[in-house]
Amino acid sequence: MRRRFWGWVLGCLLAPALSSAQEHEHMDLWADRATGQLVLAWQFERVLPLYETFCASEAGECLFTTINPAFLAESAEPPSPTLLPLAAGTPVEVELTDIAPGFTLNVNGQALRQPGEKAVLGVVPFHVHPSWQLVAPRDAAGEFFVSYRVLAPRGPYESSQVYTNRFLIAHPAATPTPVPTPTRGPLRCTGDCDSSGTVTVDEVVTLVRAALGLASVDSCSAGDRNGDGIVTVDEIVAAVNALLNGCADGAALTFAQLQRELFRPRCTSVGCHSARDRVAGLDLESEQAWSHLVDAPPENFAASLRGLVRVRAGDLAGSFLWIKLQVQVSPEYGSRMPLGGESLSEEERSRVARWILDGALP
Amino acid sequence: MKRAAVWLVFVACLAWGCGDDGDRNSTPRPRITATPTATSTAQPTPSPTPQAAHHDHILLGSHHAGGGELMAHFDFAQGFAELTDQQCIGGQGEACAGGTIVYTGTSPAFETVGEDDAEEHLQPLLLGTRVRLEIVAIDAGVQVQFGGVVLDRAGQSVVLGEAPFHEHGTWQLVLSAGVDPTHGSYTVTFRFVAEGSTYEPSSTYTLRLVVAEDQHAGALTSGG
Repeated sequence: MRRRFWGWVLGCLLAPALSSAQEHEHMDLWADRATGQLVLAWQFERVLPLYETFCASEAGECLFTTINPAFLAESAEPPSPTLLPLAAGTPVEVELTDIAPGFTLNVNGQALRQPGEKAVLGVVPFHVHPSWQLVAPRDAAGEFFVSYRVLAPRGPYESSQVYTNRFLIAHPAATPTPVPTPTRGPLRCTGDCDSSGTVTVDEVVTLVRAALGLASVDSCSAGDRNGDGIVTVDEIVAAVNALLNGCADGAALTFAQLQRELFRPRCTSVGCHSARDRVAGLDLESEQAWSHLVDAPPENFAASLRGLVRVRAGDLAGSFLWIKLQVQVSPEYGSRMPLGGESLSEEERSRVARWILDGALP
Repeated sequence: MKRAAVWLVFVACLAWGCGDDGDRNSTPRPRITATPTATSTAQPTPSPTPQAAHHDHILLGSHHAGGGELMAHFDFAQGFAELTDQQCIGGQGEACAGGTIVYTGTSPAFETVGEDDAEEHLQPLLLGTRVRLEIVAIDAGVQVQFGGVVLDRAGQSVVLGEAPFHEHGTWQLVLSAGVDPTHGSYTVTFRFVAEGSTYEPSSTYTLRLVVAEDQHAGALTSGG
């Protein structure tokens, strides 16, 4: 019962941050119910990878491309009651407002390179994968952007606001998703402000005050687990978990513990990583589960290409499992796990990290 | 004490606002626009009639439910990968003098057939069936790219996905500036292999790459 309650609380807290990461990234087009303005639903703070397609020479310029994200206008349930699906038959266009030098947005055979240029996205319903293309030197670095608005000139809809998609070149040796790398060793108990080995209600109150800006983060540095200078909801939840369940005792975690307490309850439902379904060739339910993870090659080809294994003892950045458990996963690595469910809490992820860093014991 | 802690988090939840995103992980299924015509190893025809092949799909299934040969349904005789975009790399001016032109297109995509679109010899694949695309032959200059993995030689392969899936690649043709892309044959021949399952590999299929009419005209103009 308590687990279900916490599941609800976590879902409530984390829902705004949940990624809709899919094999293909889609920006869903809706209309605002109140204003009629076109709205693209997507996480525009995300930066997507551009892939090297062709280089003229070792030192010359290259073409970098991606087909993500796509534009999707199909009748489905809007993500919010404030949005409406667009009427079938509505023609929709995209108009550039700004674009990085060397960048081209190709839509339906039309190359957009200058502000003011337009192309037809489609007539609702549609599902269009543009080709986002950059011509730049092979070693080009930094972000590249395309800004645009979406219009329905012959429909009852207002033009959208200006949206900006951002891209980075995914150099073959680069790891596209920054991977948090906690240091090896026992993890400090989140919210244990006085290092007493336990978390009290007073300490949680201090954290909430710090999160709301009513107290300094320095008043409980143990609550700022990732050291970013702010106390987040995740960190408060981790502290409350420590309040309810106690701080970890620092002993090395075993896979058997994790499997019983985390993988089986969260990852082995029907159609997932059960012994029967073994999606992606991964069974997290049976006695063989440990051998399916440790030093086992992932089936994701981008991960394989970069030499990742599912779990590499002592190496989070080299462990595909760890990458898949992050709240945001680079699209080339597929969906965030657990698929379609709540992200793991920071506390749960920390346990996985601790298991990997402590040697990924059976 | 525990109850108090729970209420604290609940209050925090209210302070930040509770998300109402709902579950957006269920991707709406794309419409299937390909004409499912069982064709195996179609030979390229010299004068294709360019027609809008925008966002077609190569449908994947099996000869019979739960087993048999993998089947790809697409009109390989008439259909083609239409290269709608082009970029000049390393060249100068509108003619791209001394450079290379890369023609690209994203259609057709690959999609596993669903229950609604199943036919007698195109049955849905078992959930989780991992399908690999394997290049059998490929003309010089032709490339297929999936998320940064570029295939340009026979024997190379990539995993398309695990059923059900809908996977877009990029079809590419790399030619020196000034080369007429309508001269010569640009094809890729491939087959599908299901890993770790009882499905047998598919027959081979040959897909033509055709530069869209306006791109072709532009290339000829700029190429002199």
